[in-house]
Amino acid sequence: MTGASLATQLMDCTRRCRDMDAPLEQRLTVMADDVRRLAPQFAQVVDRMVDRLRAAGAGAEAPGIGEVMPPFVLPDETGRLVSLEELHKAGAVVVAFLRGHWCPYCRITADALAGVEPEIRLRGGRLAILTPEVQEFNAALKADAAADCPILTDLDNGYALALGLAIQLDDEKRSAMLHAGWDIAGFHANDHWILPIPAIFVVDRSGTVRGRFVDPDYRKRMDIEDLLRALDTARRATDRRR
Amino acid sequence: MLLKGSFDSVKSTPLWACAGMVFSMELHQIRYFLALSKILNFTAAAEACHVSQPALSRAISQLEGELGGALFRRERKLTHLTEFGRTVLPSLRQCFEASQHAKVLARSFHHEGHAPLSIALSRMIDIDLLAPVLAELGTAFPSIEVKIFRGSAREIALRLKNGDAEVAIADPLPDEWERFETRALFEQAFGLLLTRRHRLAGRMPAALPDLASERFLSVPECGVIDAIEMEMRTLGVQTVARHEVDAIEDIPSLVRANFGLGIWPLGRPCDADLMIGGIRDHAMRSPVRACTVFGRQHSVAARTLICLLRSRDWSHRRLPAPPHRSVEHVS
Repeated sequence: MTGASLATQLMDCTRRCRDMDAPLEQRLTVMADDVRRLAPQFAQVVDRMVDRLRAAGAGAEAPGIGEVMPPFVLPDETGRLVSLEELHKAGAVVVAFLRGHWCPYCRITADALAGVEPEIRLRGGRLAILTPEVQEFNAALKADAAADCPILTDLDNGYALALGLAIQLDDEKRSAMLHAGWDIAGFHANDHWILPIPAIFVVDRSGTVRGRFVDPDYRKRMDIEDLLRALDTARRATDRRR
Repeated sequence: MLLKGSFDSVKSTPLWACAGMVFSMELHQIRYFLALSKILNFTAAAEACHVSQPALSRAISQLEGELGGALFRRERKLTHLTEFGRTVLPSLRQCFEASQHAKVLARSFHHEGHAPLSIALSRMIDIDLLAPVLAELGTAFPSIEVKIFRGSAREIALRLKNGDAEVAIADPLPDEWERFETRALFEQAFGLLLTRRHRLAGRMPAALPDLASERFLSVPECGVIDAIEMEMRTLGVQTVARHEVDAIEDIPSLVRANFGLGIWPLGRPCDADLMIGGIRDHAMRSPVRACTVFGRQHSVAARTLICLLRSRDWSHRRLPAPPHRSVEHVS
């Protein structure tokens, strides 16, 4: 199996999963299964990485249900500074950490989030996607998902680190990526090789986390139905306070 | 949809597939690491971080376990960073500083409070490129007062050193002081400004030998002319003659008077009797960088400016990619 043909097959799969009319979990599973089928050795490496992160308790420190989400002010894909406070004016906010436009699972998730955004708005909520990538690539992710929400640059993973969601890739992986021609440094405007653990928080108007999904296994993302249920909880919590 | 998949490229191995080792990091571990790397004494670093010494030692050991290598060589009186520690220090520090900045910005966003910010800017940089960023800064900090100084690279370096400017947005600075912290932003492209009656007007882009007898006209310490001079040397021409003017606006009139060939930023308008040409096989380009002085306490406005500049989409300023790149693969 040549590398080029494998990469091509995976890209086709990404597009197929992105455009698939199925629940997010199923789309991600099809993607992961295809990777496992086409590139079992890669899948094993990912499994080992996830085991290691789980064992280290990666992401465990991130705000939990009932805890306060730290405020943020980050530039969107057009360069406008967007604050969590401003997003809260409408009601609850769904804060989604994605790794970036290059990641198939993030593209599929961004597409699913964009698809559910009208329902989020119907519930008086807003959606914001955060990545460590600079505006050019966030604009690409936004176009790819046909999203209507701001895609914010968490430059140098500063906010992700504050939430305990930053992970660093080692030299070996860096050179493997560079060898493969992926200049993540170019996407991040730094050469740190730090990525966020993908995560989704549903934050009620008072800044309290009402829904949370953090998994070092980046092939797994929050179930969209769970997300909408958490939004309903967030709205009830806000109504009670009134 | 047309835009879908537009950034796919055909590469041998996808990034996410070559997952090797990754490390999770906690904010407090990095804080302790940075403190110890500065103080180089476990007891004193623990005091500075307001934790017990065993707690600090434990956190450092955990971080070392995560990163897979010793960060410090522990000697009773001579604790010092290992080579590995020195390697990981800059990225961990920058990530930590970003998280501190994120916290401070979230607190001070839209709040009143005097915020002076002095910026040193290279003469050739088009202010239109920075105007949206400055406008955003003005919204973020309603009481901000910005001072913009235009100068040559040497003048800008001096201002930074003296603390007369907190941030520089400039061509490469002349002396690479180790405390200058620079970040690449974009490349600025230039052309030759000449009259339509000029002997070379019909022969643009000009061949380098044709320019040997010409006089150039630009702002002081122009890196673009330096680069032309370097190429000229390969032709046996040692120096190129140059006029220097302080104000870029003075260049067109002098070009019109046949005083020299102007060095003119592409994208900057010029009058209809003038034209913009180039040099064959020689890109007239200069990198633009943001620069601050490492170790100084920077204002939240300055840090936000740098963040906005680095995040900004400068892709339209970039050299066009070769046509074989970023191919949409047909299935």
